[in-house]
Amino acid sequence: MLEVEKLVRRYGDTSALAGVSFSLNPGICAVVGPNGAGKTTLLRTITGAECADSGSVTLDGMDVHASIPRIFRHISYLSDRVPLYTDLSVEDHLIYRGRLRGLAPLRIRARIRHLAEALDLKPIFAKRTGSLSAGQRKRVGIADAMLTDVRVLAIDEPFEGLDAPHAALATTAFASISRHTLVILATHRPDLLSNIPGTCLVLASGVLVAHFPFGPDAKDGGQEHPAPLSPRIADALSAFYSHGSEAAQ
Amino acid sequence: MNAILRTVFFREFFSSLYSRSRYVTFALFHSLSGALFCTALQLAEGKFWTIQTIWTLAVALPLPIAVSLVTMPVFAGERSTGTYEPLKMLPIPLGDVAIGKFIASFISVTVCMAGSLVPWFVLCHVLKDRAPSTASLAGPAVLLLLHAFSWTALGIFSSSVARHPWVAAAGTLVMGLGLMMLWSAISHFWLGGNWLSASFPILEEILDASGGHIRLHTVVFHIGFGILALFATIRTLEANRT
Repeated sequence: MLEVEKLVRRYGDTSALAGVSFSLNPGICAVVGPNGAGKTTLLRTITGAECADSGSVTLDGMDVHASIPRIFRHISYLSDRVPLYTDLSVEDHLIYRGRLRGLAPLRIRARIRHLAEALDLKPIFAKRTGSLSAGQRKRVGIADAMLTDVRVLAIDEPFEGLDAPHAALATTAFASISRHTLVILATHRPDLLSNIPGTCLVLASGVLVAHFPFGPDAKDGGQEHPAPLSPRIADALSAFYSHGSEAAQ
Repeated sequence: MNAILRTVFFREFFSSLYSRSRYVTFALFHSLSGALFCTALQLAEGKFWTIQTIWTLAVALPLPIAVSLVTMPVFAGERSTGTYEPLKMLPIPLGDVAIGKFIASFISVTVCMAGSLVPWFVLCHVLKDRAPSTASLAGPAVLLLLHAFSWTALGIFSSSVARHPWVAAAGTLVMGLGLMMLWSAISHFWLGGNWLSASFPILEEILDASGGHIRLHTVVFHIGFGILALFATIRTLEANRT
């Protein structure tokens, strides 16, 4: 479904992505790694928010960067800044965004009602988005990104600012669409996803250092891991950190 | 009007009704325009300009400031708040977005200019029988609409390339005034005009319009320039999707 081939992105002399390659199918994908690992750049590049210096990204055989803006029918991206129209109420913001996405008014209403229940937005529906807390803004942003049915939903730091119950709601919402949609989450809280099956990409300094399945059904050498995500990530990251600190010394 | 254009237009138009900065812009415009009108009436009426010419100048001169303030948040404001990125990542032609925003801004500017009729009517009330007929404002009104059209299109273009709203406002003024100076220079050096009145395009236009004449080249220039600026805006937005 999503094929990423030798993706390179540089900012001046800094290499944010240094030849990253992987392929993903519908499901949950957690992109983890330390600060500055290239998680945001990876999300922005594979969703077409930014162009790549070299390499390719294809979605169902379509070159993402060559198919802009048509490809945006199939891709939705939410940045960690969660940009909202601060002069509009939550409901008006979602209606406006739904209309821009070409949804019919009745469909927008139905979709917003569904997302409001899934993400507990009803209590803040009439509030202006400019007066929301960081967690509330994040939930509105997630609802905005999930307004239409897309093939790829990419969210940067989906759990930042969310309390435990709302993080669980968001996780459930992601899991509910992951059968048909590839949900890519760049996060520092992969433990919140450990109860659902998915794939983990571990990035460090723009390099893909690990790529493995996680969740209740994940297997490693024929053995099932009840909660295999955290130890694997920890191993991959500690290997990288020790390598990085040796290099620094 | 297609659905996206209509959606953007209504969003921009109604948000401007609740925008405090829009009312500050209107107040600033009318302060400047009113002050110019009163001062020029004292100094120049009956000597070398008619009341219609003075009124037209009093609206036309502060117009670029009002337009730059109205258009500065259109795209540059969205960029600075971060909402431009979700906008550009929609599977819609950004041309529809630009035109929707342009129409809303143009209506705002027109409504703002319409307020300048108040001092005119006050003056007519004071002068009674000696007052010029309101119908004599038809020419100046058409000219001012043409100015508003081309200035608004330039403001939208400036906002589409600037990263900060105030940069967009400054860009509108610099580009607009720069183009006017360039046009005057071409007129002066190549077409054999002089600096004093008739060859200076804006004065020439205003003197013509206040006498009830709108020249064809004025109409063609303003509409052509406005369409060119909108075309450049759309090309810029589409080219900078990623």
